[in-house]
Amino acid sequence: MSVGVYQSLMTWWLARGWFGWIAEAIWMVLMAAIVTVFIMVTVLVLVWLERKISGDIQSRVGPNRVGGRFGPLQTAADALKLLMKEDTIPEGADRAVFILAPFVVFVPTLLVFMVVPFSDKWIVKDLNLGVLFVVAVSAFPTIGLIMAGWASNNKYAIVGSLRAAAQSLSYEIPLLMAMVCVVVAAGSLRIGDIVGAQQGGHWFILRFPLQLAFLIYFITSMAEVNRVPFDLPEAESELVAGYHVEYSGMRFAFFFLAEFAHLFFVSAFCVTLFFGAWEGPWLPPVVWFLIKSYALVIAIMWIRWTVPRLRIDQIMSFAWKLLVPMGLAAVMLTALVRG
Amino acid sequence: MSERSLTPTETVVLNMGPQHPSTHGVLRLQLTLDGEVVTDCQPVIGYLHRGIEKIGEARTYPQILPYTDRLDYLSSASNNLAYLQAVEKLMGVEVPERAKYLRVILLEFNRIASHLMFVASFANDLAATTMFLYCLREREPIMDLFEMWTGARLTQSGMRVGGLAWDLPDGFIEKTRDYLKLLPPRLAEYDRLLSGNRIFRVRTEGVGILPPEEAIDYGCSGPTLRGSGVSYDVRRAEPYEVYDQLDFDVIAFPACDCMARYQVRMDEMRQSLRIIEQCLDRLPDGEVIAKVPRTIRPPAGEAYGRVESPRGDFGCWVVSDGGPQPARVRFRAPSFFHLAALPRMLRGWKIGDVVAILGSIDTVLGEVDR
Amino acid sequence: MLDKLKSQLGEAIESAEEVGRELRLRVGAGALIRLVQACQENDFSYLADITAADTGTELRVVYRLISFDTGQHAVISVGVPRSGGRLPSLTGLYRGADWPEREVYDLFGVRFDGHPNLQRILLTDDWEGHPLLKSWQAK
Repeated sequence: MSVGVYQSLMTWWLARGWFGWIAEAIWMVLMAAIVTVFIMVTVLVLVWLERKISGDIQSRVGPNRVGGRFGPLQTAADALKLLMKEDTIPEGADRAVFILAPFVVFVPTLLVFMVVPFSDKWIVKDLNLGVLFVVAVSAFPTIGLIMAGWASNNKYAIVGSLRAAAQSLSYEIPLLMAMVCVVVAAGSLRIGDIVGAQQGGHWFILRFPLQLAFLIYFITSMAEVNRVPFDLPEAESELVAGYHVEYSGMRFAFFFLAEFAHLFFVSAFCVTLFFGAWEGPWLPPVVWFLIKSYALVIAIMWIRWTVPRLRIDQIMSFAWKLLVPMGLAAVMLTALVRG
Repeated sequence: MSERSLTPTETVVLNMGPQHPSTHGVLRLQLTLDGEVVTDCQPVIGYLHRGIEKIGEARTYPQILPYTDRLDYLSSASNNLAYLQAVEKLMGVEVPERAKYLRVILLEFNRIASHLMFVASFANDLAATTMFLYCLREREPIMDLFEMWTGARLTQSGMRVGGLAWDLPDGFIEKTRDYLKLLPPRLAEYDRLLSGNRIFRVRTEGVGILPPEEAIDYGCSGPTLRGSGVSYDVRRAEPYEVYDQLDFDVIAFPACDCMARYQVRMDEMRQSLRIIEQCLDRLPDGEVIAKVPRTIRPPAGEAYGRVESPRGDFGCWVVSDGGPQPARVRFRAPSFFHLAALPRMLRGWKIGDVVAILGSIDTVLGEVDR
Repeated sequence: MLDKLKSQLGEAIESAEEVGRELRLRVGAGALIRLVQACQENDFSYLADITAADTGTELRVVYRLISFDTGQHAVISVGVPRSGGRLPSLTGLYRGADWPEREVYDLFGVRFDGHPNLQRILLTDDWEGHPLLKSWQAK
């Protein structure tokens, strides 16, 4: 976080003779709380945004009652409703796994925000292996999906979670390749270095051949977040909500919030990797960061409401027969040009 | 690579329905799955069985008419007409010219509304949700026109034995002409958004093949049959009302897949617009209903009314014993026969295709179960 | 067409008349398959409907075959007793005969020999009785 504040607080604390690790712990909890609150607010905004945008595309209005003419508090009202719902656990369900699954999906989604650079001074922890951390932690929610589908004791849920597994696995590879391109161009896994390499308007998106990497990243990130056209694991019209069909109330809310948090993360990370993160003239950096992230989020939402859905084998063949070779080509090209 | 894997696997029976967003009504499909592949499908129907044919035996002829609305409820006028044709044949009633033209207008508007609903739900099943709302938006003016004319948006019962219940209200013709101008560019837009979309094409082209000989053997008709290349349309084969005087094309596509069935319906909408325009141009003056006795008592005998509904060959068989109530009323519903062909069309495809194929034959459970 | 069928089946056709585009034929249960095959050979390739009517004295099972070429309907009626009636199944000749025969079984109680899956189709499996019979009253 803001390094200066941290240093001065630590010095003051240690000067009192109290144990340093207590201060560390309090600091970390504080940071976690701030990030969590930010994510919650963002998710609230994103859900509202999705509903307004989809309404606009479909020539209807969207929420317009709760909290004024534009219905900004609609999501809060919906979250409240979900909290008050009965918590059902299906009879044959594996209780422990059923209860754990939402957390396995939700916690990594929050955790991964640790390395997001909101501004030049605001990054919770600029790990040396930032990109690797993101890749590793992003794989966890998939396990949660599989847990949810399995534990539900419901055939639809199992089909959904198997699809999620297949899809996630297949799209990890091109995703990694796209990120490797950026890492090669920046010469480091550290987020701070990647952003630093783009300073002064030399964003990676403008540097050939990283446009290819961007394209691959954009497409695979939609697949990782299970957004149409890749939303098979939860394909409403086929599987009536797929892997989370048996979840209700707050547990369902966890999945829902996790999906939107992940969506925001994926856009924010894309901005970090390709669009120079918080860079921009005369507005404060954090504002630029948010503007760029939201722009990508809106693009993803736009796509969601326009195109139909692919079938699972088509999704897989798209990943393996098109994206993986493209990814390999991108990596080789980047290594040649920028390496 | 050996087909026999080391892990033993079993087939799974998955129930789709009767409550399911995509079965278009209360239909239950018992799918036997090997992974994602459907190896067998047993449709279970009867969830919407209301015993309309039995009820018909205890109602007078005019009283049966509103029941026919609720058979294929997305296109009530076709059901009305099939029934009334049978009754009119039994009674030897000649429908006046103006009534015939108006009936055709009502029928073709029903066809457009039904096909718009088809495109809406078909696209929605494939997750192009926005198309659902666009098509329903286009369908609203038609519903308004129905309401202007008959008082009801969906279950019109606008016809009577011998003609129609009401003549056109003021302003109807102007609004119709406006609509005839409104729809073609929108249909072109749908072509760009949907028919041309790579993902849509990949989901529907080559999927759900129904060869023409089998289609005929199963008793398929309408767009399901014409999507297999057989150019058979009741409006041409057994012209009724004024269809023999109207200029329109029978649309058939040879591909036998979901895309073909979808394209047939898209083009049929355009043909319907043509028909309505011709009817408006040629509309004669005159009565809208023939002189019919107060109590409808057809002489003893039987008659069959046959109509090209948006779903296909809709027939109504009426047996009269001379009394005010029929001895037997039978409705031959096209969707009934199409559903029987569904297992044939589904075998070997994946779960995702089930929704596409079922959507492409456009069943309405109201007429399947009666 | 009527004469052609008459000549092919002769005595088996109990009555025949031409009303408009309909060829109304009546046969006994034994001659049903032969007559339907004869129709099929004469291009009546489309089985429009199989249904039945309770005339009070008997159950009249009615088959409607349509020829795409001539536009004629062959309307074949077969009489069976109101209870315990049996007829040969047409599923070997027309795939589309499967479901309508099940419906006639379900609502009238007529059994079709050789049908691959003669079960109730519209009513629940544990329903008792056959509702479209005139003797059946709703409770």
